[in-house]
Amino acid sequence: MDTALKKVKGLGAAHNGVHHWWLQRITAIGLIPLILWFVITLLSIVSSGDPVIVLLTKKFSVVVFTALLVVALLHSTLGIKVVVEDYIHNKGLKFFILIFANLFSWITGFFLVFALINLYIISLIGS
Amino acid sequence: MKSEGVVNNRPLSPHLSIYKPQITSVLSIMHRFSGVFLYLGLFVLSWYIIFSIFNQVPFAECYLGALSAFFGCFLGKVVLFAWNMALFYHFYNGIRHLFWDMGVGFSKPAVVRSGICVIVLTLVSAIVSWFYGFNSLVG
Repeated sequence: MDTALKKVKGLGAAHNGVHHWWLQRITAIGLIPLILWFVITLLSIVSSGDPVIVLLTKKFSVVVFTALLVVALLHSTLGIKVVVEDYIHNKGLKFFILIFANLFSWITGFFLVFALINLYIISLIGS
Repeated sequence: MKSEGVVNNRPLSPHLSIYKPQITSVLSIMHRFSGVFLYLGLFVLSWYIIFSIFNQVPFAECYLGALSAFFGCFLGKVVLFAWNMALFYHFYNGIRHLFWDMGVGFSKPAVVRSGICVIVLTLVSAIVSWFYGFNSLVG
């Protein structure tokens, strides 16, 4: 089924080339320091009240935490796409899940970023 | 390529139903499974943060209440520990995958060795962090 043009463009079976593969790796590398920061920070504050509240009342933590959640959302949405493409063979169901998963990630990310920016601005005014 | 009129009932890739379980294949499946599991956890955490900040929204109280009730009970603790373990597993095994992407550690003994490393590191990290304080994170 491969046409010469398709081979030359190197787009492969997913029709969008290696872009997805690269983005999955780049987000994975980005997540290494972010997860390390998350685990170490969480362990160091776990005894002083609700950890998420403590985490979100420090200016620097809010920024890094936002980065962690956004990169994790990107990475996991890319990952889910691969899993769905591999195991869901019904075309209709496959596209339904992919569209739903993507939409839900975008909605969550949108609300999350606005909520955290809101919090960051409040912390700036408060200090 | 399938000829017309020929019924083709061969299992579709990735042949999970007929593939013999080995440390390599089991860890690979676990990587996907933990990834999907963490994906769900990411949404639970994200909406926890969203509703903690926008707590005047009508649904917020309901969501936060349900979360703290669930993670207060035994089943909730089991799920929380599973998320803790999935996070460490996906983290360590992800690094293993990145080394493979660079072409490092592909020989059969190396693959088995790094697999055992990932299992040991995951168990140690998950159990230590759990008793250090992650068991009291929510609820």
